[in-house]
Amino acid sequence: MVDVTVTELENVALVVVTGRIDSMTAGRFGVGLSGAIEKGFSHIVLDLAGVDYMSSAGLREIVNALKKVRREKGDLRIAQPSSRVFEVLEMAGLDTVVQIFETQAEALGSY
Amino acid sequence: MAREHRLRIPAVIERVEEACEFVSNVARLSGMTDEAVHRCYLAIEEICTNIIEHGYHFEGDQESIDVICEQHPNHLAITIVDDSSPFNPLAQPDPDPAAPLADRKHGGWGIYFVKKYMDNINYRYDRKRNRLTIEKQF
Repeated sequence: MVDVTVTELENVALVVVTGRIDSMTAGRFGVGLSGAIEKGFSHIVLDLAGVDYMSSAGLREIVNALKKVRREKGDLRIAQPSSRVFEVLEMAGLDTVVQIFETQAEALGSY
Repeated sequence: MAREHRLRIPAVIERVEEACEFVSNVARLSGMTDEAVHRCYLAIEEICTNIIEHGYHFEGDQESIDVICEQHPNHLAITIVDDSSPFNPLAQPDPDPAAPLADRKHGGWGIYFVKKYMDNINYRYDRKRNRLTIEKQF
């Protein structure tokens, strides 16, 4: 199960995800991310505090979204990944490609 | 003599969780740490998903994946067996974690994580079945 909530702030879309991002739920996760981008938001904060598991299926959606927003000169930044989720990001080298923050406030404030 | 546990699932994404839970339960019963159990769970998800996506092209509802766990004194051996076309995931080049965003292609990360998380991994094609065996030490 995964739940994706998008909150439209002034210039940033805050995407809060809870649950598990795996091969079954990654599609829904991706739709949530795409939805925010299609509404015209090119600054995204992806809050993963509530995600206790993410496999490579989730990575794929993050990379897709990241490419889209960067094409529009925007960015996607990650907040509060758990240690296991951070490990997946790190193994894939995404920690050097994406800015990752310890708190949601820091991620939002970085824009 | 290793104790063996077997499960067969239809080769559909909705049943991957069942295979992951099955392996996790055996891993837990074997005395593995929570972290090791988590790594086994993720490895099975990645392997089964690859079979369903690349082996059966998401049309495997009439096909199956066998998951066989063997409890050895110091490790758990898990063999995942499928009937799709011969394919050795270990023969594919690893994706590059240092690649810049523009150069990143999808694919390859699943088996890459399996290699990172497991202590041993080998593949063989035998009796018309792909057989991928992964091992995790206790």
